[in-house]
This record gives sequence, C-alpha cells and structure tokens, in this order.
Amino acid sequence: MLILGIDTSCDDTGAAVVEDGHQVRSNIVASQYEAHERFGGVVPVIAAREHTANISFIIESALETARISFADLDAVAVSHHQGLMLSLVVGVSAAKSIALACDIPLIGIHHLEGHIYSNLMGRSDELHFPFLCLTVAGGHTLLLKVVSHGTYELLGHTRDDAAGEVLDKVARHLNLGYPGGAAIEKLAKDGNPHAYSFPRPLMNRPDGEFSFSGLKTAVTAAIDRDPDLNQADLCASFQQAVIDLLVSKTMRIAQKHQLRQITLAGGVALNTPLRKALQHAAQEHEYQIFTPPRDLCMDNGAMVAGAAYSLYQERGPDPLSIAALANAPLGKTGIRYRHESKYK
Amino acid sequence: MQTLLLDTSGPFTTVLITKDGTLSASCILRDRPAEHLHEQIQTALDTIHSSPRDLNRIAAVVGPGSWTGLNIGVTAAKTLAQVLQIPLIPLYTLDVLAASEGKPSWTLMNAGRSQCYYAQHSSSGSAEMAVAPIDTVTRQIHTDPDLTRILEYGDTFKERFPGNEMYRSMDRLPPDALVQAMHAAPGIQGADIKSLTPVYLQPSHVEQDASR
Ligand SMILES: Nc1ncnc2c1ncn2[C@@H]1O[C@H](COP(=O)(O)OP(=O)(O)OP(=O)(O)O)[C@@H](O)[C@H]1O
Ligand SMILES: [Fe+2]
Repeated sequence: MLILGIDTSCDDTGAAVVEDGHQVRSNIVASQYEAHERFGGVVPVIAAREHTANISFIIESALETARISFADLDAVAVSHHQGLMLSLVVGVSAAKSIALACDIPLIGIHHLEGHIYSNLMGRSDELHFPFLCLTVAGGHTLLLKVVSHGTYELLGHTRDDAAGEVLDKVARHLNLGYPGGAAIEKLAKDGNPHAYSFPRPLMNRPDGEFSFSGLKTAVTAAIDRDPDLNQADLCASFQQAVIDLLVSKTMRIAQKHQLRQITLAGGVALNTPLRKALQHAAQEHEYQIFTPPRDLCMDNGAMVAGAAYSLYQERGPDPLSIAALANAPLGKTGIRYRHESKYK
Repeated sequence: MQTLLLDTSGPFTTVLITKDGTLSASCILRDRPAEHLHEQIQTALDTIHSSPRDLNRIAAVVGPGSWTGLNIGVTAAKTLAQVLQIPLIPLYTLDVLAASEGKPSWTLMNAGRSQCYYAQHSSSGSAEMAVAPIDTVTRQIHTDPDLTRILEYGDTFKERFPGNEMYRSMDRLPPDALVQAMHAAPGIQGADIKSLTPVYLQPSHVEQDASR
C-alpha cells in the first residue's frame, strides 16, 4: 500500500511516500527558516504563504523520488489536527484535491500521532503495546502511554513552555540560529555541563508534570548578566538541565506505570546526549529505549503516512469534510491537555 | 469542454462547472473561508453525474481577497490541475468585477490600512491593478470625466459616494461574471501551475511593520 503523507502543520512543508507503513520511499521537507528568520519566530501568515508557494513542488518531488505517479497512490494522508491554523489548511486542501482527483481514501492525522508513530514504523516486531512515549518537540512535551493503535493515555505534560521551545528561545537569545536545539548541542560538546547550576523545576515531584520556563528565565538572565560568558559552558549546563528533567521524569513515570519500553519522539529526539542519557538510565533498570530514524524526528510527511497506514486499518477513510483544527484532542479517548499553546 | 471554476476570495465560496461555455452546475456557500470547498466540488460534479476525470480545465480566482480563502482555493485548484494534468486559468478579482457590468468602470477593493486595490477599465482595455490610499483613489474617481460605473467588492467606499447611482457594492463575485472573465483570461500549464500563488499584492502587515 502506497501512502502519500503531507505535513504543513507549522513552518516546514513536508511530503513523503511510504510503502506498507514502514518503507520510506521518499521524504521531502522544505524548511522555511529563512522566511521567518528576521522576525525572530514563526509568523503564521508567512508560513501559510510559503506552504502555498511550495506545496506542489514538494509533492511532485516526493512522487519523483519514490519513482511513482499519482495513479500509483493507494491513499493520501495529511496532518489536519494540531498546528498553526493558517498552515494546516494548505496541506489539507492539497490532500483533499488529491483524494478527489485520484479517487483514493483521505486520512486525517493528528500531528502528534505522526510523531508517536515515527517509532512504530517497521518496529511492530520489537515494540509492543502498551509502551511509553516521550514526545519532545517545538510545541509539545508530553508523556503518553500508547495503549493500542490510536488510543493514548496522558501521563504527563509541560505546564508552560515545551522543551524544544525553550531550546529555541535560548538559542535565539545567543543568536545561534535554527533549529536551536541542534545549535546548542553543537556548542555544548566542548563545554562543561557543571559550569552553571541551573534550576530543574518540578524535577523531584513524583508526577509527570514538566516545567521549563523557570529554567529558560535563569539561562537568559545568565546570558544578560555576562556578555563575555563562555557559550560552550552555558549551553552544556543548560542542555544538561533539560536532559536531567526529561530523563528523570520519564524513568519515574515508566517505573510507576510498569512500562518497560520507552520511545522518544519529536525534534528534540535528535539530541545525541539526550538519547545517550536515556539509554544509560534505562539500562540500569533493564528498560528498553527506542528512537526514530533521524529523518523522522523533525516534522515530516513520512511519519504522517506511517501513522495513517496503521490508523486507516482501524478507522477507515475520512470524508472530504474533515477540517483543520489548531488545538485538537488526541486519539480515541480525546485527550486534551492544558498548557499555553503556541498554536492559534 | 468542461471547466471547474472556483472562487474563494470572499465570504461566499463559489464552485461552478461550465459545459461548452455555459453554466451546468453550481454550489455556493456562505461560510468560514473555503472550509467546505472540496465537498462543494463533489456536490457540483454529482449534480451533473460527472467525475474529476471529466474536467478539461480549471479556473480559479487568485486574488486579491481573503488570505486564507485564497491559500485554500489556489492550493486546491493547482493540485487538481497537477493531478489531472489539465490547464489552469487564473482569474483576478477586479477583472471579474469589471466583467459583471461592462466597461468603462472603476473597480475597487479594500486593501487594509486605509489603502485600496483599484483598476480603471476603459472601453478599449484595462489598466493594471494597483494599490493606493483610499483618499487618493476617491479623488481620482471624482475627477474622472468619463466615469460611468464604480464597482466595489465590499462596501468600504459606500459612504464616499452617497446617493451616487454609478456606485455599486458587491458582496460576492457573481457566477455570470466569473464565467465571462474566464472566457477572456489566458490559461497556464505545467511548472507555471505549480508555482502559482495567490495575488496578495502587498506584503503581510508583519512584513510592512518590519520594514519600517
Ligand atoms: N539536535 C537537537 N537537539 C535538541 N533539540 C533539537 C535538535 N534538533 C532539533 N531540535 C528541536 O526540535 C524542535 C523542532 O521539532 P519538531 O519539528 O518536531 O517540532 P514542531 O513540529 O515545531 O512542534 P510540535 O511537533 O510540538 O508541534 C525545535 O525546537 C528544535 O530546537
Ligand atoms: Fe512537530
């Protein structure tokens, strides 16, 4: 089964062709970083305009790379839930046109389900329900119990900023460019993670609640205080605090809920020290860590097609009437989580 | 020859199908910007027992107009044209307005921030659409000796031309005018379709502010 997956949820235009839910035949992503750079953050109207200008080329490129034509597609999937409203509607419009013109099923996917399924693609032999998923991305920090296809239980989330958001904000404060997390990881390599003792809010609380804004404030204050500071040391210390928070909460929740398989998803999952720290902590307790292939971590169409393959077996196709939704409940149980969302 | 015609530029989302130049199906909704566009296309096709494969051309209003409506409409149109490998005819809002009443005329539309889009259509042809302050354009219209019609998409100028019978405010692009404008407009193919974007004409407000 060949599925075209489309993601225009935020500021990347992604389209990919995935065969049978796991074989990634193509995965094309156009970053809009340069279009937003001078505004110091993603501007929704500009994101929407860039998606509209690029989408046809990205879709064409996804098909060409996969060496197929529209007629070969068995279904088209699109992130219609969770993201910037003005951006989502562009991908949804393209996907509906393809479903209509090719007379193939349309499958609407919650963007977070895309991130969750980035770990399941091609792993159904080793990864079994229920498992724990830590989704750490630009707009989310969530601990979910993945109960079965399309069914999730919320075990924790951030009460303020998302981990990726904080990495991006600190990186911007240091003029390091985007993605912030990657820039910080690079600088942190040569730094001392104990040079600064930054706070780790809520770390010792037994529940799954995260908080990153206090950490962000402390780090930006340290930057403002000393213009000649050692950036490597600062980044290493800051990154270590983020890692400590993520790893300790995740391990505690995994133990509490007896979930011995843990998956890491979202753009921050690219962070090598985080992957290592989680592996290390898991080994101690003989837990198993799964991370997605690197090109499935940040926003992309392949994870959307991957999720669609499994969820289509469960739910069937969606009608042409599905609408984009900025803040959408997740999964069969309609999980809602309360936190300041960057999505409007 | 079947043509699918889409207009998502304003509060009404219009879907028309013409067969050999005359209107054969329509589905018009007043709703949030273009949210139901594809259902409308399906409905219009169903009423004449057609399928997308029977379409020979697509025409779509590319603006100016609602930012989100146009992103949805232009993306829908160009993706359909891409899949079906058929030509696309971009339609411009002010040309459609002009087609609704005949020339000569002035066509107008609010562009935000005290500016408007305008074009002067003489009997022999149309001037390029441009953007200027509403006050400037109003003054120009008042001093036009050949003035016969003032057509506005919206009603910003209503109070500037009180009691003037030449002024008409329109809340939608009429189907007949869309079909007529389509006959007069050239089509595009291939890569030109993929690179088609709505006519926003102006940078976004964020960009305008940033460049100050
Ligand atoms: N090497 C890295 N280390 C840490 N963080 C990284 C790295 N590379 C990218 N990131 C972070 O990943 C985030 C982007 O991930 P992603 O594209 O999944 O998020 P998003 O789609 O914008 O948000 P969300 O999925 O929550 O709606 C950014 O915050 C970026 O800083
Ligand atoms: Fe994402």
